[in-house]
Amino acid sequence: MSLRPNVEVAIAGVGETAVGKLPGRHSTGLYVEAARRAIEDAGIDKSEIDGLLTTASVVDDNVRHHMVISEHLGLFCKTLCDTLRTGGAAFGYAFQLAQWAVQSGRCRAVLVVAADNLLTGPGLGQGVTAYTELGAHSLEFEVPFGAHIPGFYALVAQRHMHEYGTTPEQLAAIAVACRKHASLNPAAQKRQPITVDDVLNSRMISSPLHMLDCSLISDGGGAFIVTTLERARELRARPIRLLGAGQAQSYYHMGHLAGGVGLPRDRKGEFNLTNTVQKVAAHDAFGEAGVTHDDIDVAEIYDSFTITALMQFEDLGFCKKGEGGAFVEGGRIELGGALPVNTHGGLLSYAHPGMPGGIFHLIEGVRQLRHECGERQVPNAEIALVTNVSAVASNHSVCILGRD
Amino acid sequence: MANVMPTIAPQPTEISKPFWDGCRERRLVMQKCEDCGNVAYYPAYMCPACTSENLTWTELSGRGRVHSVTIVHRPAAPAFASAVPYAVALIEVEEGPIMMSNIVGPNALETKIDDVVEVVFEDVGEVTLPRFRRIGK
Repeated sequence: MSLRPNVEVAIAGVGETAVGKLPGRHSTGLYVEAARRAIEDAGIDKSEIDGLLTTASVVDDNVRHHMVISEHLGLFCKTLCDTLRTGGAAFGYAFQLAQWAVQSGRCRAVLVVAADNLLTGPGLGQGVTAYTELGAHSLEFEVPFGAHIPGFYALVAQRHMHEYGTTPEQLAAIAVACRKHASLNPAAQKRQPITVDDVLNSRMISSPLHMLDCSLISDGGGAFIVTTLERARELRARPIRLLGAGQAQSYYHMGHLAGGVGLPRDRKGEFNLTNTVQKVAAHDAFGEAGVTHDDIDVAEIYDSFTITALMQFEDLGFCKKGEGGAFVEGGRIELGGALPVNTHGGLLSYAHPGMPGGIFHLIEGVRQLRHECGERQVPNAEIALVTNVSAVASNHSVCILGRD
Repeated sequence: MANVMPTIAPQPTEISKPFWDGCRERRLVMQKCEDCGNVAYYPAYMCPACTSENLTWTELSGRGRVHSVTIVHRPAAPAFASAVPYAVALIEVEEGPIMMSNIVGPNALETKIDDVVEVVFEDVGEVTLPRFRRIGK
């Protein structure tokens, strides 16, 4: 087996379920619906799919989750099949695994699918508690102190504000932009426009993060299909090329992350709470794609919290470290600005069903490059950048997509 | 102790038992690598800096500096509902490692990054937790 790096890969089809509050739906049903829609969108024969990657379900977990979904989809023999545990960062990673499987000739077409019912599954309003009690973090060294995911990101935000003078108003500008875009997206969960004051006046969750600095909790799912560019061109939908991808992971435990535990002495200080390994993922993605930041027409930036997105503009290289706050001000990241971000509304306003959240950034990148986004379309979009993040700014994937 | 902040109790393991036993004895202990001097936290099977297994449980000064701090208003779980608002912090202890804990005591909710803190041990049911209080700037 050898990679054929000259074999380009593409997304041949995408699909998503409705998102928001979907009472009575089981996560497996959402998985099947999203997968079926992507298969339909691509116009591919199901028998051609020989790879399947899922991201499990917080609500209905199974250690062989990919087998359960295989059975429901009737995908008997796969040559790549697994449940990814990279959470919100899974989709750029899955895309890259699919790329390698297709380039090596071991797979013809890989289906990546994710869904969950985090909003209604555990009981309304219990999603955050479910995450905490399931041990989203160290049950022994973090959870006993009453920490939760908003609190972890709040610790990052406080440090960023301390080091660089970033303000709550700058964080809020990201939530405002996402909501503006969601207001143009009929499928989004939250569509009522908001202002910076609305964000600052919303309930404090964990300082400095207000409720409107935090992503939604949702039900829903999405799927995409990866095959060769050559094969995708024979199928129904316009192919969207993978120009470049990168990934990087550091640590989950906040003390390890902040302290750079295990870094060689000459790299101490290179990474910490506010300098993430996304720099490495971005370097690889831009290098493979052979494009520059000025070439990016639209960016779908993982936004579990406003701070999550703000730091990425720095680590991706759109601005210098510490200048993320100034970067997001003045409408730069809104439609009509220099770099429209999260045109579907992001996790902050479109939907965040937990593990699947990042798949919607990728699907939106595809739909933008297909020019099918209606009122929220970035005119003549040719190149999109998509990021996924999980485990408190420690797991990163970066994809650069191109219109065929 | 009245009004002690609640917890979801940790479950000590073979490697972490000395840490939690130390807390019960009012001693903050971590493993020091006898080969490279690195102090590990959380408890480690080998030195994550140099791979040595030559680790010795060592009592720390109990002092540190706030690396970051947040005031939690929305509790992490029902167990913490009675305690909000409370301070969750990352503490850089004098010997190097960064650990998560709470700031408790007077003016805990006014804690700022770089505040100097010292450990206090709080009995919460069966477990003793290392928390911190502010002692200066």
